[in-house]
Amino acid sequence: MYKLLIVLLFASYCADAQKLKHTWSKKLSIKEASDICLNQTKDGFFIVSDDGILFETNLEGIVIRKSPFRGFDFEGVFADASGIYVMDERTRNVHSFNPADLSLKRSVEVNYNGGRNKGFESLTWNESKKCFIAFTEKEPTWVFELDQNFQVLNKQKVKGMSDISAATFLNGKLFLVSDEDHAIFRYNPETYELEQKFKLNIINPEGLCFGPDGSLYVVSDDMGILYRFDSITLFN
Amino acid sequence: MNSFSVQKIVNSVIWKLNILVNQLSNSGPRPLASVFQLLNSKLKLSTFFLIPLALSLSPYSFAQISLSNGEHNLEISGSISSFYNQRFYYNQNPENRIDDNLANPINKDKDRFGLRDMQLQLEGRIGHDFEYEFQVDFADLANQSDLGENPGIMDANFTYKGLKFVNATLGYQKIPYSRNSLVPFTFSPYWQRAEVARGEIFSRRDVGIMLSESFWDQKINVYGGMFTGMGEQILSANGGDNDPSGEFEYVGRVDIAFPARYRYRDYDINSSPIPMFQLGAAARTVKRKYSSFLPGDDYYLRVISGQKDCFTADFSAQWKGFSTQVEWHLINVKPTNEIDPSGLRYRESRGTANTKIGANPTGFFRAGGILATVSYASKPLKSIFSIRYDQLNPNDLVQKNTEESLTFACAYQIRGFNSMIKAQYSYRLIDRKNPLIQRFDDQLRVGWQMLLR
Repeated sequence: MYKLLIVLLFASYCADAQKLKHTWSKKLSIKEASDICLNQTKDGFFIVSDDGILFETNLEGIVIRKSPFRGFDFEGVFADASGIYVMDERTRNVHSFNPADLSLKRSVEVNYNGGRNKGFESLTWNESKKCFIAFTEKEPTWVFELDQNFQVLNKQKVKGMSDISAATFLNGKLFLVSDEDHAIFRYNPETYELEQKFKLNIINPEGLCFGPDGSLYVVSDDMGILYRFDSITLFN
Repeated sequence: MNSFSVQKIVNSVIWKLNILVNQLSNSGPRPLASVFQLLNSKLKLSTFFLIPLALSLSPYSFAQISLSNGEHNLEISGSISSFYNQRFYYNQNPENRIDDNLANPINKDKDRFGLRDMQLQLEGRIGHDFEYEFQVDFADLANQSDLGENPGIMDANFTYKGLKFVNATLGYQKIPYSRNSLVPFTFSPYWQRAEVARGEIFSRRDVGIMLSESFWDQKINVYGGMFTGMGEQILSANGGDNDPSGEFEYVGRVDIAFPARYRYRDYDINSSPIPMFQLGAAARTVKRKYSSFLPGDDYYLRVISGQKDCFTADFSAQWKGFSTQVEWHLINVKPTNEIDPSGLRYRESRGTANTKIGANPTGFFRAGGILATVSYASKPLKSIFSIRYDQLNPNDLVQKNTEESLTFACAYQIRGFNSMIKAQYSYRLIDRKNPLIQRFDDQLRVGWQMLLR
């Protein structure tokens, strides 16, 4: 019986998920980076912080400019040809920013009465369903499908992870990162069902996106570091 | 994982534990053997206890509620915890008998069910610069117990962050001294903190002002505080005012972590992929004119007439589910032996003017101890296992005055810390021989904690 207990106790060491190893990293000057996305010209990133500030950086994470607007707790960022969109977890607002000078254009509230620090952790575009999607962190994890005006179209529970810190979309698949699981999850963007898990050797991963060449980028909040993963296979 | 799967796993673990307990019941020295026999009988009952509870669980019933008007954000949460307590008594100790009389039966008033927590917490943020917290435990208020380990009022303070270079917290709050004290109790598989850190030899809360700041990506935390020095008693019916000296208690703490910010949590439930460390140290000093013994105070050290200086150092580490903490405490006391002319407070009767070591009088005494914990948190098992050693000597002038305990704890996380069944067994390694101080027997405590957050 004691052998069974020993096996069970060390069950967490069993390799049941592919492990990703970063090939490059850079210390950020941004305090408490909480999400990242590729900018419209694909030569840099937008990074948001827990302090409520939007930054634009180059592909090495060096700050080029920052927004004059200060929110409260930015946790999600997404950019496309039509604009830059940031999710403020504390106020439940989606802020739209002007790409020319990063000034605030408008704000729309997406109502959610869950825990103050368990609100929306991400914002991205679901190419399969042609809508914005925002995930709440945990207890429970909801995905809100939003139209172009950030009005709620649908709400659905998502399972398979301890929490969600960020989300991004690539080649017909949805990728979520979990801070508590130290892992990236690939989900079906139509059904929000878990397909595969990839382990990360990073403390507190809070944001992810794909670079212009398909490399994966992950920001660590506690470490203040931007990591890059080259030549990895997340589709199989 | 649905509640039916939870039931199957719980039943399987209990079945295997029953086998283990049966094997151990016939071995080991007393009272461990009697403990396992008790566990064996209780586990059969626990099967019937846990099944309906597990089935009744809704996996989505736990969440804080927050309200916001865009500028002011208020979060409402709470907790409830209840336990069954069983003590093991040494028949030859008169203190365990009714009226301290060996001819009377053993006083088993500690074998009971207890309501430990019934808490309501309000946390709010206003703009960028103000935060506030209000936390109350109705279980302690109902017991009219605002002293000891669990005062009824737990937090009533606000923080101003507008100074940029430092944060200022004013009100009734936790004193930034012991790291173990700073870890919220609900994030623990234990039902009691270690004797040396549970607030019997130093106060854990007080009214005052604390300045704090973090550096190096929050890897370094620095605290400085000024408090009344009356501890939890400041809110009691007997207190409310400062000591007649009118002086204050000053506290300072610094801790440093590597390679990243290390939150005040003792169990690596997220299985940190890389090793993390934290080192901390703190000190506090206060001078009182008259002591005031708190009803139910075990060691009469929390507030004491004279000069009291406290020092602590701590170390924490975690990696891949394993974690460890070591915390050391030293208290240096120079009592005054002054008599309160009003008769409302008590003379410090342990005045060292009348106490000698050998043939020499001494002007001070020391108290202190150490606690050390090793734990493992398993995500697949949804469980935390922990062993804790703690040692305390409340007065080094008294011979054979050290007590040592070994405490085992395990917790099954039905919904993380939000819904957790936890069990703790405290085994007394060395007992204090001083008959003037209340004993602490071996104890088993099993119960359920629910956090509404």
